[in-house]
Amino acid sequence: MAESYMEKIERILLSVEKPGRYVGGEPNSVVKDKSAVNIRFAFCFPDVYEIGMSHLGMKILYGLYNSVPDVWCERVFAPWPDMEAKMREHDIALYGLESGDPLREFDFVGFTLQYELSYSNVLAMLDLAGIPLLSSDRANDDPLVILGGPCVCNPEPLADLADIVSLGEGEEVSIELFDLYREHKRQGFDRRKFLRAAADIEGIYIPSLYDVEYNADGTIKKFTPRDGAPAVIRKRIIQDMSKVYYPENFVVPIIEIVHDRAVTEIFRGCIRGCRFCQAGYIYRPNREKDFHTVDMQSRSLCDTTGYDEVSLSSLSSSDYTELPELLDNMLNWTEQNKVSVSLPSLRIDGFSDELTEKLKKVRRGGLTFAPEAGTQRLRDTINKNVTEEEVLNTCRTAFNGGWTNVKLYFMLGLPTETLEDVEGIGILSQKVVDEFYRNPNKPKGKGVNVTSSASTFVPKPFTPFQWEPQDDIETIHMKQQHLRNSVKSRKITLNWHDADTSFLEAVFARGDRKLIDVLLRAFEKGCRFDGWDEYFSLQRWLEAFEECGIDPKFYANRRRQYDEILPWDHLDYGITKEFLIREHKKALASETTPHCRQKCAGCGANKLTGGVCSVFKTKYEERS
Amino acid sequence: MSLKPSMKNVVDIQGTLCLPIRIYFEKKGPSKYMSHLDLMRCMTRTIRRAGVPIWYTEGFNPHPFMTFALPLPLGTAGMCESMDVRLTTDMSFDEIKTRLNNSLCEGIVVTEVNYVGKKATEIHSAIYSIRLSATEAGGEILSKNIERYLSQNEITVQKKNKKKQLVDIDIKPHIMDFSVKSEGEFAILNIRLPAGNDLNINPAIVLKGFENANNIAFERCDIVREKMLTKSGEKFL
Repeated sequence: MAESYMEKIERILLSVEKPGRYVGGEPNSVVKDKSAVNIRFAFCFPDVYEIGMSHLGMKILYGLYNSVPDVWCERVFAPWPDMEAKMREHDIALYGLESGDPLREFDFVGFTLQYELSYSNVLAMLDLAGIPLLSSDRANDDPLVILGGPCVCNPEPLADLADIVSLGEGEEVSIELFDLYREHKRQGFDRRKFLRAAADIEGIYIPSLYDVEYNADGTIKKFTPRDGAPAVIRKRIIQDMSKVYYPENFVVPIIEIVHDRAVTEIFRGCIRGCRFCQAGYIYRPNREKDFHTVDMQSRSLCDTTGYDEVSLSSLSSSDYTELPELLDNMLNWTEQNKVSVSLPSLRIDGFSDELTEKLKKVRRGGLTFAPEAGTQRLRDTINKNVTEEEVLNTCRTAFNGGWTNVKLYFMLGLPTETLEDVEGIGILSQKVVDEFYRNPNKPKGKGVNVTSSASTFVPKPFTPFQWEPQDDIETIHMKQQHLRNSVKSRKITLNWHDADTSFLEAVFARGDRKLIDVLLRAFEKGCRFDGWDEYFSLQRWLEAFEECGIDPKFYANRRRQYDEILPWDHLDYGITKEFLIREHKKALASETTPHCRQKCAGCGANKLTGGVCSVFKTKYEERS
Repeated sequence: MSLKPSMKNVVDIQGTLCLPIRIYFEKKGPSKYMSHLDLMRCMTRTIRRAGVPIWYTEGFNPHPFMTFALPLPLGTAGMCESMDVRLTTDMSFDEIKTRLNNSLCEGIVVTEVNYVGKKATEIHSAIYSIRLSATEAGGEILSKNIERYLSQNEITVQKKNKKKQLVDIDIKPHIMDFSVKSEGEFAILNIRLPAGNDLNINPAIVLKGFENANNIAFERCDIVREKMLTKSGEKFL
């Protein structure tokens, strides 16, 4: 970082918590000569350093952007409230960690939207950078604010803030956008002309080119493109995961972060189609990376970072076709180099004896499984495709393998849920405990601990439940109480998620453009870090809604009709509305849908081509 | 090249031939905001990246054997830091120094690699140089005030005891030496305080005591641990 800037922030660093968050200088961070680059990109993660630095998408795009010689990408994280206060007191604008230069000097200021509760931080960061919060207030030379990440599958609550929204996977589309920008900059940059031209790039959505009209009841009447902008904007995907750019190194943080390890992506998309899971739909189709590539990339990352742990990342690790081959290959070098392999997101039905043996060779953590619902009927409704027998079999296998801690994830408030389903969570947890004591090979002198966590269901866009109302807060509280009463054993630890934050999440997940006023008001009222219990205040948010004359229940707790125009209907994520309606009807009838490798459900993602929709299917059929 | 029992200082540790070495380094700039735990993680990874072969502890969860002379408080820079590791393959000290410096984060610089010398328990005191400024007073006034404060017969400050409670102590008997001068807007204090396992006085508590007594707050307070000394006043090496 430039010395002048360091000098400026050093005055405040010792008065804030964890100053290492704000100084940069980490190994593998990229410092370029700013006079020799054309495009400066501030990659902003609207949460604290330790969270943002753990995020794989940011590592990939940071590496990719910096691999372009005339592009310099820097990292920016949300300053913790103590730091924000000090920065405001000392008149220090938000800066890039690599250069220490204020964000105002950048060409692009990009935010990755990973969860709805970080939206207030986006506003706080722009404001701290001295950049106008609304795109209509930005001048020709102001940075272009670009949004990406999973939440932009409904970017409408932030539509008036964004200059550009990038839909889907960013690797290819960003480079095309940079090419266009470079061209426009050379010819004398005109913001409006550039944005209009950018709208013609597939995957790029320019919200200011669209008008929204509303009905008297608050629903959307009409969504109209202007200026010849495309009526429907389709997300971008990477066709071949084995060929796409992957970073050779990661920035190695100097303070401990949440996921402090090397990460290799093994596939994108998921074959399963659990009906509550947005990730299971918006990342379709499922596309795997060749196991040789995964092996090579993991090894290279460990060499360049010095990490002694590598995590294989995907939405459901045990669905990786070549998992046995991959683990065998990796164990060849990981044991010798004292590197441990972690395999998160294991499915209940994918936990074989063979896999247990392999996992035992690597460091042993707890085991986590997600039955998601307490009864078979409800598991069928959400298309989890896991039976109680499979849950118990898996736990038996795990207990046989010496595990004594099992975590189970459930959701409360799923569509069609009854109190019987809620009790089912307690009953299933108890059956897992009983399974442990039935096991003749159970570890001597050790008890079992089953931790059952119940989060609150949030209906999300592009899922079959996108029309469903969320249970109101009172109902959730009642169900939480009912769950507590249904658990008797002290071997079961029960956790549940705060219903208030899930309510706000539900509002913004399916929100429309009217919500920007609420966001602005909430930001002014001091809302920050809403994902953090110590800062979240539902009361403050409710005041903001009240003052803007907007009813949050309209977004969270209202049932939509199939023919209602939804705020994200102009975005094309591959899957069709007809498919989602079909799935919704099957859900209500508790009918399941086979996964992509068993039978194509006709979701529509095959028009994007690639992965399970083309090459992979034949490969899978050969195997079975 | 593998180590041989005949080589200088080579020892057998649980069946592996090892050469204990001491790595001296400076920790300044952004790295001074790294806690001691962060530093240990950072050094482990640096050594792995650099491909310097060191001995790992045996057992279920092997970790690199690494000991530091004396932890540095967060925010304090150090010019005389050191850590000991055990080399398992012969590698020249210069090569180790070069490799580490090519992999380290900004602000940590390896200055020397050598055989292990004195034991860390011999550390008895440390010399700090501290650059101070305050909006309420210029360098000259500030340095005079500090001089006066430290020349009192009794200086009561608050220090955390082992139970983490704040207790009043008189640090005057512990100040082994000090000098103050002014440099523009800054006052520069050099002070020698007890350091080590038995009694360790962080200069920050002395400065806090000054702030409280004079009712001011330093704007800048850059502390650098310049040297560590043994009881007889020799440099810790």
